[in-house]
Amino acid sequence: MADKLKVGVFKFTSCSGCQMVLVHLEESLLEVLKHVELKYFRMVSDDDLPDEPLDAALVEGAVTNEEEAAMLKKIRRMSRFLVAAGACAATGGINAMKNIIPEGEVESMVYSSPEHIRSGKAFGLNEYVRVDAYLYGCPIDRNELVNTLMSLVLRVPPYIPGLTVCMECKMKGNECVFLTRKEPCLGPVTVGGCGALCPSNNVACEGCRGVLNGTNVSGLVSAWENAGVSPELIRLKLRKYNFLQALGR
Amino acid sequence: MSFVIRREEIPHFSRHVISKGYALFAPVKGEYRHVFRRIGENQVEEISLNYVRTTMPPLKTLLIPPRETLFRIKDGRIEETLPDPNSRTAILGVHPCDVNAMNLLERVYMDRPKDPYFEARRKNLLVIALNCKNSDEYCFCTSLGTGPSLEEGFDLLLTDLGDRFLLEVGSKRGAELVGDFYMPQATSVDILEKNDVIREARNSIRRHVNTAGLQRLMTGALYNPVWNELAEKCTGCGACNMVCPTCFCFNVVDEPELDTGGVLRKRTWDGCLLWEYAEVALGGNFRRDLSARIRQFVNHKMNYWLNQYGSLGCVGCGRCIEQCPAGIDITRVVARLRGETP
Repeated sequence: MADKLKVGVFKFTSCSGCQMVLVHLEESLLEVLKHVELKYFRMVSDDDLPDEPLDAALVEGAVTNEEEAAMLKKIRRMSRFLVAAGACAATGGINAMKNIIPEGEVESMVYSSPEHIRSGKAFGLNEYVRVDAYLYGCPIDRNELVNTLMSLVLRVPPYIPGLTVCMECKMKGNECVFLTRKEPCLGPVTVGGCGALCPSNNVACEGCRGVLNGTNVSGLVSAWENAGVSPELIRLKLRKYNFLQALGR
Repeated sequence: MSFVIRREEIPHFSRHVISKGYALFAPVKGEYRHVFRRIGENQVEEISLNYVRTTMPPLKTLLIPPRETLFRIKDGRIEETLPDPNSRTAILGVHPCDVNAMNLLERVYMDRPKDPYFEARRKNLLVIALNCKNSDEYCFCTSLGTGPSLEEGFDLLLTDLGDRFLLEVGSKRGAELVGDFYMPQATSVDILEKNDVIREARNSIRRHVNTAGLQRLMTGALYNPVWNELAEKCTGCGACNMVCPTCFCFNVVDEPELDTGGVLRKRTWDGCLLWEYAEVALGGNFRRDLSARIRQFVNHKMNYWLNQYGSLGCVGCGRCIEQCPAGIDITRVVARLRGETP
């Protein structure tokens, strides 16, 4: 066996839930650690970032200020392969909801004394650096995380099939929540891989895995409008995981 | 050879099928509509043969599971995971369009090179079909000659005559199965009643697609503005690919198997509506625009199949129309290309 894959786990503006998926791999984690050496992982160790190149960086979170952007660029320089892990790192995620609200206003909505806040618009990592692979979802999927790490160990490009949540939902034999109940489901335009988790539990897809390349969000919105979904609900659905971006709004 | 079986005897008959060693699949009432389920000996009362359409095509789902492991690669060796050649599966209550779709899948999967996974499952499958008594606004099998009644491709065939079913035998295996199940022989009255049921079902179908000169029409319409208009509406979700009983494409992926140190090679259903489907090395893509992908879907069913496999690739089951979130209707697309409808 070749040397272990040297991996750093980093976090910017986010809830740490995606890092927790790595911690929660439990018995699989022990197998993964036979092949992977965690060089930096603040959630589980106080060790500082070593001054040596990494084989791969697993980066969680959106970038919301200059310090984060500078750190991300440093991570990029020291890492052979950079993985954007989770909705925030991929598109800005939930954080990007604030991008359409004036900065001063959104700060005072959340904090009682916002003068210490240094947080601008939230962007995905690819706004600042080249991203080699994505792990989608809020949080990321554990199987996809393991497959991605093991692909890197085997020195093959990680691959997440580019199918929709809608297709996975059909494969599971679910009835369509949109066609049967007129619930605005983002499954038709959202990257699959979650096994259509929400619609399989009778809840419309929230789109946490982001827009799949080549799908037509505006076509889906027209379908919702024709089915009588309220403009307010449509706005909320599109705003939650930054689908407005795909509409160019 | 034809028999008559009373309606209330269907559970008893189903138990008979199970007792012959078959894993039985049949429609039951789901929360929203009928679905095909594996039926245990104690569940035969749940079988319900009064349905028009299930969301998923039952035979494709059985013969080509949405996700299946093909083999394991471990320590430089390949361990194939073929279906058990001695297993027996029976499906009860599949409609003619779905049986005809299976016959089309056989042309794809059982011609050279044969797909051993499909072949093993098909050889082990006993088909107890059910002629249609009712239709709905999405059915258009009569335009394609794939329903509402079946002439071939079944082991046994049921027709709903109200208080009883006509049961016709279509194969040696079907004859063996009913050989020791007591049923009276059908009379000419039963056959006449069957013809009435089929005629009524046929007349109830309101949706049609004109297939005359279809191939020439479709090929001549490859650059019609209709494709761009459809691309405005289409969400690109690929639901049509999933629910279509003749869509046969799959993707192959490798997944590490941590506990064995091996790798599993799996295949999953794929669809031509996806961007990735026509993507090639270095980021090239033969169908970059959604319009090109919808055009491919419609043309494959209504045009390319003829050259590829000798018949149209659509059986008129209506699933792609019913399940499209954007309301795209393949019969209307053809009518528009003919200039018959705006």
